[in-house]
Amino acid sequence: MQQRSSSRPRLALAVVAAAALGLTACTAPQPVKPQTPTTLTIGWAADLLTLDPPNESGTAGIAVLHNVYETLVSYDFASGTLKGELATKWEISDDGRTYTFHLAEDAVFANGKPVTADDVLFSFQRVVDWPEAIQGGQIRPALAEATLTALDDKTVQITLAAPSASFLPSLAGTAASIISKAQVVEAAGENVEAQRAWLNENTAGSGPYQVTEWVPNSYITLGANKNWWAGTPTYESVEVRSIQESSQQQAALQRGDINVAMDLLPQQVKSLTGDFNVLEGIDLSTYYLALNLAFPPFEVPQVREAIKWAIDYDNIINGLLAGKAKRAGGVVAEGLPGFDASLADDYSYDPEKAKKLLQEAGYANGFSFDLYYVTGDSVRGLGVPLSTLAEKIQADLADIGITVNVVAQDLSTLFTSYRAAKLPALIWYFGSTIPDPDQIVSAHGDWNTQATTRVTFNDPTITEKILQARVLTNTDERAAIYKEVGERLSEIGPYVFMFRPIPTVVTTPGVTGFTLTPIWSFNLS
Amino acid sequence: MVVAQMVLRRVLLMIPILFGVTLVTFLLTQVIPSDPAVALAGDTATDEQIEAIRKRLGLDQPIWVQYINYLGRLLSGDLGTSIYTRRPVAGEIALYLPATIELATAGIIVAFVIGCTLGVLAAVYRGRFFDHFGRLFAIFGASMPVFWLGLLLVLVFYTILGWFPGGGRFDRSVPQPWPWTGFLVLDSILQLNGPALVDALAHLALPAITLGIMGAGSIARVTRASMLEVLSQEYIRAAKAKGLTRRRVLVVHGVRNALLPTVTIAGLVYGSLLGGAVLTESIFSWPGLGRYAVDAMFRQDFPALMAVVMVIAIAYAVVNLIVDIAYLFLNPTIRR
Repeated sequence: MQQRSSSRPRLALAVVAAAALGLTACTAPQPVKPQTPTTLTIGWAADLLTLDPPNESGTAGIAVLHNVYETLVSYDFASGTLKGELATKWEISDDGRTYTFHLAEDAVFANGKPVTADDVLFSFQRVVDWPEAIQGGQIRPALAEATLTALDDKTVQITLAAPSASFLPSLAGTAASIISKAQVVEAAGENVEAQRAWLNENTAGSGPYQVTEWVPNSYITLGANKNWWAGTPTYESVEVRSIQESSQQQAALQRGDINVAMDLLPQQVKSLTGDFNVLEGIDLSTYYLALNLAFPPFEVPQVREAIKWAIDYDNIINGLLAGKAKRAGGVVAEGLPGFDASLADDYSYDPEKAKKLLQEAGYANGFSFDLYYVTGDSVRGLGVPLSTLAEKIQADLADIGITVNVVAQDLSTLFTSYRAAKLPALIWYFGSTIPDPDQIVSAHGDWNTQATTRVTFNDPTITEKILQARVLTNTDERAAIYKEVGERLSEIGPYVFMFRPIPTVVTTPGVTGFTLTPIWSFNLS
Repeated sequence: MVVAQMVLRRVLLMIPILFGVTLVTFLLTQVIPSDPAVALAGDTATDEQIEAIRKRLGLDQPIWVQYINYLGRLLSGDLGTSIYTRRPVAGEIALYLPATIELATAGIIVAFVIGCTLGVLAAVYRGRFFDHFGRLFAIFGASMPVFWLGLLLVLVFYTILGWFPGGGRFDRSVPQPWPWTGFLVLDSILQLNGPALVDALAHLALPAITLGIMGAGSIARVTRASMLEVLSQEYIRAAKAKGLTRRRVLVVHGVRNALLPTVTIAGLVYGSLLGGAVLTESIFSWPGLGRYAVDAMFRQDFPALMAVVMVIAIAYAVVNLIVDIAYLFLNPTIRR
């Protein structure tokens, strides 16, 4: 090797490197802009897996698709009513089986072409033909047995095999998004697999924003739909940026690099300096202890009741969760028919009563069981680890003589065992994904849906009432039945309902056209 | 010639290694008592839906059939489709691997520069300030959680000072180079895209420094020890006696010979960085292989898992090969 002289080239190199690094430091701190920006940047850790509506289960994906595609009807949680979106009006036959939808005359897709009955049929038929579509279960069972006809360009008729009260609300879900058939066929031809592949990464919708660029795990950019028939989009573009750490979201929000932070924890919100809008969301997810009746002594009703009296709900909600949760006594959340606020008062913290019940049941000396939870998981939107919640429950039950062994397991393994009814008890949560109580009530009371097989709970009365309510179209009657179910579940059910978290979303001042909604996270306009 | 032979031999050796690696991974995934179809289908899925998913994924076949099918597809370059994202795994690896390689390379460069410098200074000024500082730094690097360090750097350099961006690989408002290699820095240079280069480097800075400080510790320690040993050798005294300047003695005769163990450890550090610095990627929202691997693990996304395991195995093999080639140049006596 040649002998090179000394360190002068090396020193020069070091100076150049330092200068280059110095160049990169040229970004001056951005002040937080008070007026409405032209680009809305949202920082979020949630998943976005595909752009094909029936197949998307990721929270961010559902939110994006909710604003890119439109549905026949939409659900307004504030008023608790269904409103027309792509369908201006509809008729339901007397036997409750035939629905006739009239599409809005001026409804067009982003490419300017009108929304027709053919598009509706296309969008629904592909869900019927796609059993593995993850979200397809929202509408597939009803549609698979139905006849779909286009009466004319703007009228669609759907005749179900049996009346179903939840059918109409289910059409507000993202699985029922109306996709432009012409656009899909033009881009991908008639082959179904090719169409699915195309829709995996492209959109053909009628909503206020359309996807212009998607870099998985990095960001997705939505551009304003200049042809939006229902109004004018507020922003030229919306970017949903994948920011995994909530502390990073906090930093970015503080510097004005993002306008909306979706995952800030309560203590992070408190430590923000400056002028920010703090929005309180609604999470329909109810957290509960599930007790499997196949594991003694959970089959004894007094034992289950005792546990329901033994949990220190107030301390959990106000202490552990810093007040960012609502006491829940049942699965139906606010805004849905059948919601019963009185259920939350059914049980309170009463260890004496709990001990007496255990005595009556013959378990004065207590017993022990394993309590499972998903490892590394935390309460949605609040960052409180489930391990802490589990330990609190362990302490509460120890006070009445029950020994709890806390077991953490990864989601896949735990869920497989849960489905197979192999777990004695676990901490779980469930939230509606369609704006109708049938889905969630069935999942916690209808033996036929195989959800209650997970906890070996079979109560024919509850099952019968759920089946009754399923076909009633009169909302008041339905609501009354769901309240009865809620009461009975509260009395003898295998679930110890605890709370529903209150998520917080923070925005910079001046952000408009962005409102929080349950299920679909936010509505953009 | 020697180099070519070595490379060829190593490449041939990779084949049985990969075969063994995939077999073991495959068997391990079968042992785990969980069903990816169930996890994928979600809470509200019916049994019928789960069966349909299982069939589509080919999970209803016996294990050895699944493995043979997998190998068959592998030979034709098909790494399978991710169970979770439903996209071809090869495409996803192609997306995330360059990000990880770029970050790991930047990290090892920082680690090497800091570590080497500190190690040499510690050895030369043994027992004095630089030695103590170097040792403290090594302990610091080894014991500080990467998470803490990353967040600290973000706090200081982004939140407070605003000198560097807080995360991501690039700023969307800067026109990006065409993905010729997938390495933003390289692509920007090749396409003479100045703003993109500055942007890419700016985004690389903080995560690379985080990883660099973490890795510098072990490199510094090995360099110091190796340097001390070399400095006590007779040929050093001979060089000094010859009248060569101190710097020449140190650099040409000292450091070059001391580098061998350093290069070895740097290779190990590089390999582990390539395996995916998950926490760093998480903090800086770096779309790399680490996060992809962890997600695949938790979701039992078998095709993605297998692909990642193979990639990491190949990465380690390649890095070891580079280290061995570097040896040849550093110490010609090894060639014989």
